[in-house]
Amino acid sequence: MTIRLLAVLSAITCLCGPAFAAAQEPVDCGPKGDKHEVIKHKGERPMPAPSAGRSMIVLVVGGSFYKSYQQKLAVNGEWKAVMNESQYSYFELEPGLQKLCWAVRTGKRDDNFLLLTTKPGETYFIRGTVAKGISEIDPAEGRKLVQKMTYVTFEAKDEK
Amino acid sequence: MRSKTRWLVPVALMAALAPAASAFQAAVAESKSWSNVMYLGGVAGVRGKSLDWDNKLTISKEKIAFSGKKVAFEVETSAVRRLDYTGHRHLNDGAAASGFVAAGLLGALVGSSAKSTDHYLEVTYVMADGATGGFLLRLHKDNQQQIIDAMHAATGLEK
Repeated sequence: MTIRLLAVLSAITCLCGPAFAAAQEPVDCGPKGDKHEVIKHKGERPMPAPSAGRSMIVLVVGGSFYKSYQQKLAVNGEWKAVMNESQYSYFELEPGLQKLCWAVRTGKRDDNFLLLTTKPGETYFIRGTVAKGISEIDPAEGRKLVQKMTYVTFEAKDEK
Repeated sequence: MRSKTRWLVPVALMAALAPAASAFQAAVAESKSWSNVMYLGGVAGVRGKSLDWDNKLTISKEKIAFSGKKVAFEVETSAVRRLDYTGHRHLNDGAAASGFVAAGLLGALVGSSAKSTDHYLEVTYVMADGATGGFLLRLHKDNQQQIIDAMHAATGLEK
């Protein structure tokens, strides 16, 4: 009887654990069901300047031991970069207020949000880690980090 | 005659300074400060976030000022155009584990259903060049209503 009760309670506890209440996040990530494939560009390490009137974001991912997990960055609710550990990518944006959401499997929630006001012609370096989320770093530090990383892009994966 | 004149000088001085002093007092009274606020980025030219609670937010009719260990900025209150509050309600991290330690499986069951709310305030403002800027604050449950009320009062923006 006691064993049965324990088993039932354990099952209920396990089921209740991950069931988060419907919640509104302060910054939206990209669509939840989207699957992506990371494409490596070995040997290339491009770092172009932003086009006229646009801002550039360079995302550098490193500093964790979670090599197998995909880490994704959304800006204003749209996926903009997908990568694994020790990789970097870049993308252009219309200047203005950018709301960044870092989608990883662990880490505190507040570490994974960042607002950034970008200006035309400027490049902003963002560092992402699993444990510490995302933060803007000094451009000199960002350029140094890029030298150790693999350049990647991503594409949407077809649903099977 | 001479002693009467001696009294007149400080009285005249006090009379001259009184309006300035009362204006200063009014300004101080209108300005309110809180600790237990986090900064999650956004202000142009200010790099970094401040994710501990040991920061100071001051709101007055003239400016909104934030100061932390590594981050500090000021925004003119008259430049604020929008205030957006988000209450993120979620299961309380660690409550299930604490409950398990305290009362076994039943405690874990009770703990896993405990919920808490994170309070966020996004402030959108117009910069000197006319572009739109903004910043995101996380507020504490004990001060969130006061800060939101003070923001609306200082900016004149309706809720």
